Amino acid sequence: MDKIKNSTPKDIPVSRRVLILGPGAVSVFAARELTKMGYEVILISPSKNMAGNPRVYGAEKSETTAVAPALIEENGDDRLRILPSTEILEFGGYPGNFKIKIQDKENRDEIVEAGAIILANEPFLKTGFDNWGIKESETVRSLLWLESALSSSEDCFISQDLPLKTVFICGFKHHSTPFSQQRAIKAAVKLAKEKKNEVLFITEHFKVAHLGMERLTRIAREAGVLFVKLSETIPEIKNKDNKTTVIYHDETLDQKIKVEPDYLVLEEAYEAPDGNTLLAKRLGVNLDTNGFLQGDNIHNQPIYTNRNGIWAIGPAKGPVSLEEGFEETKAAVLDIHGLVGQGDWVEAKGRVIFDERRCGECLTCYRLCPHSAISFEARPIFHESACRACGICAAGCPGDAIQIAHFIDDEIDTQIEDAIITECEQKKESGFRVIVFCCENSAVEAARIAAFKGFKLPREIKLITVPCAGRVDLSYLLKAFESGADGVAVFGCHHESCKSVMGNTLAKKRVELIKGALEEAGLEKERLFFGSMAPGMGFEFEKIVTEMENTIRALGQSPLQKTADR
Amino acid sequence: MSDLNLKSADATFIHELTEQPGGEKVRACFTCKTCSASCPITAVNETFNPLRIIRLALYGFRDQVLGSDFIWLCSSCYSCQERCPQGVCIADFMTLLKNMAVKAGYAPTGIRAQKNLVTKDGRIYPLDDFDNKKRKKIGLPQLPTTCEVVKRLFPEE
Amino acid sequence: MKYALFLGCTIPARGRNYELSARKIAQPLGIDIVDIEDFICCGFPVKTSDMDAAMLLGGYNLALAQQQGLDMCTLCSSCTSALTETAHHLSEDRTTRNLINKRLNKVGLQYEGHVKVRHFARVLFEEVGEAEIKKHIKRDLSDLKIAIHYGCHYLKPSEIYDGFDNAENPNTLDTLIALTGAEVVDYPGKNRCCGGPVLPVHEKTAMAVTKQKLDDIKTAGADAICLICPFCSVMYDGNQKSIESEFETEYNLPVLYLPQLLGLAMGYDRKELGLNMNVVKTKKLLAGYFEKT
Repeated sequence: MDKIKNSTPKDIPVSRRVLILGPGAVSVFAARELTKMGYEVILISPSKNMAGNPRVYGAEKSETTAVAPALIEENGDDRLRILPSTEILEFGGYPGNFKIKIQDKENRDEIVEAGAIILANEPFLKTGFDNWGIKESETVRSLLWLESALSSSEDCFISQDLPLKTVFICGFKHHSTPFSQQRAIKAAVKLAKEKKNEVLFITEHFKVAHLGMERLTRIAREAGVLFVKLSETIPEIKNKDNKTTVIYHDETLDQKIKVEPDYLVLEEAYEAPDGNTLLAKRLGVNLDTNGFLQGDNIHNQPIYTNRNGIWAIGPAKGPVSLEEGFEETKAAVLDIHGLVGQGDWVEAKGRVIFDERRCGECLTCYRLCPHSAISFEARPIFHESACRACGICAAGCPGDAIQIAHFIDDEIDTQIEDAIITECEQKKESGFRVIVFCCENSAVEAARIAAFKGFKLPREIKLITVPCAGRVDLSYLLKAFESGADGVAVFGCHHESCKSVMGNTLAKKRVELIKGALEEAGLEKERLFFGSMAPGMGFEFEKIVTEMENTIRALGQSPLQKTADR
Repeated sequence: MSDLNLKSADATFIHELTEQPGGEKVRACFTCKTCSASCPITAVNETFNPLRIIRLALYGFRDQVLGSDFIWLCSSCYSCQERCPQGVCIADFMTLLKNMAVKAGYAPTGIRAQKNLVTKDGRIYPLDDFDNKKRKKIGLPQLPTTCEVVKRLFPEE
Repeated sequence: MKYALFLGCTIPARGRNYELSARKIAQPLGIDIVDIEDFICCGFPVKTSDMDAAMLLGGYNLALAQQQGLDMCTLCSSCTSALTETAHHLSEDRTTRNLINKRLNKVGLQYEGHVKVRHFARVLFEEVGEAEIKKHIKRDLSDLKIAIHYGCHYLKPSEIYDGFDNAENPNTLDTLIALTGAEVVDYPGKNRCCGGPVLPVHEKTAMAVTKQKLDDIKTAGADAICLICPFCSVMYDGNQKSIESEFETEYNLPVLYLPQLLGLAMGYDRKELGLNMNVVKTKKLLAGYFEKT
């Protein structure tokens, strides 16, 4: 490794242009914010209507949703290009300098450059009636209808005789979201408080983890809204001769309840735009289980994707309120300003060290990189602005041509040897020694919490920090055993929670692979572990370590160690 | 158990309850079942279940609640009230329901007899001369065998 | 320490052993007891049927104590909770106090809202104190394994008891009994109710609750139960035989009131503590302490 050279370009040309994917008020708002700051913006939308559907954000009137069409129409800012009916065809480059091929309806294409991308396209809105096999009528209404009615006329929903009965149904036939549930509960509170209705709120889930929702449900209870959560059955709706009947099985009473409401309110369903699957593939970003553009990985929340330089905000990730959309816009704009607004160049950080002589041009690094940070032009080019230094490429490279600064192979090897030799000197009588590779994003934190709670890590167990479990090279595991370790473990993040998408999966695969090799070499495969944990799980860390320790102590000294000692 | 129709529910019931001591916070119940899990009576007799009573009350099933035998099974041990995470004063709520049931004419005879004894004699176990004799024998002070003051405290009884 | 002793209804009729032993140990421990003849029911039994009547009864008793310038010491836990609750309401809620006073005025009384209500065990723990009690201990009871039943109303509702003990994990009685040298035996459901209040409504349910506790106490290996409420005593002592025959089992667990147990350690005789009045016989259990009987 003496003649390694950093082949990453020293400076990167930066484009101060931002591409925003609409349609909708949030995308228009983002365009306005960025142009105000002096950025060039290309606002595109696959549909003709750039302003989107204001009802996606609920029926409450908002200045911005109203102003969005006008903003587009009156656009006099030459920094803002508005391109309706335009799609992304091809995508390349790296943060600070993406190259995007776009195409309009008449198949005219064009390659544009942009330093950053904002995804803010809106979901499709669908009424809930079809899902339940009923039709909208005077007594069966949508949430949007109710919201409009509540904000328009003063004396609706008030009866002179008995109070009106309203039943809300959320979820069951489609995935309910915090946003629509929040609106439904707000409407329910209005009906109960101002219109003195008797309100029954039947829901599949409570979205109380969402900001402000626990408080809102409490307010609703106090206002007299009666919540019914059904986890075992779904309610039955009958609608005949304009009379609605809802029958459900109350799980607390273990009894069927029949109610004939004056109004039945169903929330709308939100669906991801059709084009998302193809778009995600072209951009190299992950989709979540409902087809929205962010992926389920918690590390991406609230506004990131698995790629640097691409932000997913507001409606692109599913239904949100306009306020949330705006807050996220502001956060993304600040980030973008940090990336492309600090002068014309982004300084290379030198985290990736590449030795060209060792490179076999096998493309493994290019294929493995979860952040699309490597391009290939005869040899790999590492784009520091896209790189998150997880080291998955370094672990995967068969020629060991790639190194990550601070986690260089030689350094890790030295740590392994140190751990084992030191232990040998200190505890000759037992000779027990275990090496645990800990992901910086989870296990290192978990170990810290365990220590804080009073857990004393046995002296014989040494932790070695890696930037991601995916950095753990096959050779590290072998090296550890070869040096005489009685046990080796890799601790990473939980399934689908890896900051680098698949580092934990790769690590687990490598552990399984080496287990086979251990058996061939005459070592028990139980000496090698893979553990997964979240950063807050100090207690679990202690549990896993203790279990591992017991197993390895029961197995006794590694036969390889005896050889090494000799 | 038979089906319940909300047609027979009385929405004014819950309003009455929340306006009286013990019922103020009952709407905060989020059916976590801490009360029934803590209840010593539920543990031996499943027909009594504080959560079920709260739930029926919230629906407005007035007659099913006040006319039921099970409200009288509450032993007022306060375990549920101590543990309710929503601050519902469940034991006080049961007392409120019992008071309302008495007013609605539903009380078991034993309960009415107790009140009659207290408002007539001032004690649930009235004392006589024989009791005082026994007390004297072991050196305990004599106690009055009649009580006049209750007649003035409870003139209407 | 001067207190008006509030006996309530059950103790003079069914808990004379409790009253006798409490009076016996109060004097040497420096608790000055005053009897007020006119005390009537505390209100607890009518709470279920009429809260207002319960509050009036409580207010009447509190006003009598106030007239003498005394705080109240109670033996029965139900009386303790009913009176404490009433005292709590009347001192905090002026409207209710005025309503009650309107009715008390008819019998020439007026309540200002300053009387404190203390259970006898609480007085022992808080005011007499461990050190003082220890001075009076003459017999070592370390041969006895005691299961404590705290009961509900000595501790709950906790908001009226200004935190003198922990309702979920109480220790005042444990501390007092430990002074006698006896071993305190823990058992599951230690804080559970005795079932007593359900007795007039559904006897079988009430007995089943008590049975569960007796089972747990027996399994834990206790020789006897110690408690501080005559209602609980009715269930464990008075009804132990019925429970044994109803559920075809045998416990033979003597039930002692706290002052009986303390009195025993303080060197008093069987009859002085009314031990002969306990339903489940204590003779065998305590044979070692009274050689001549």
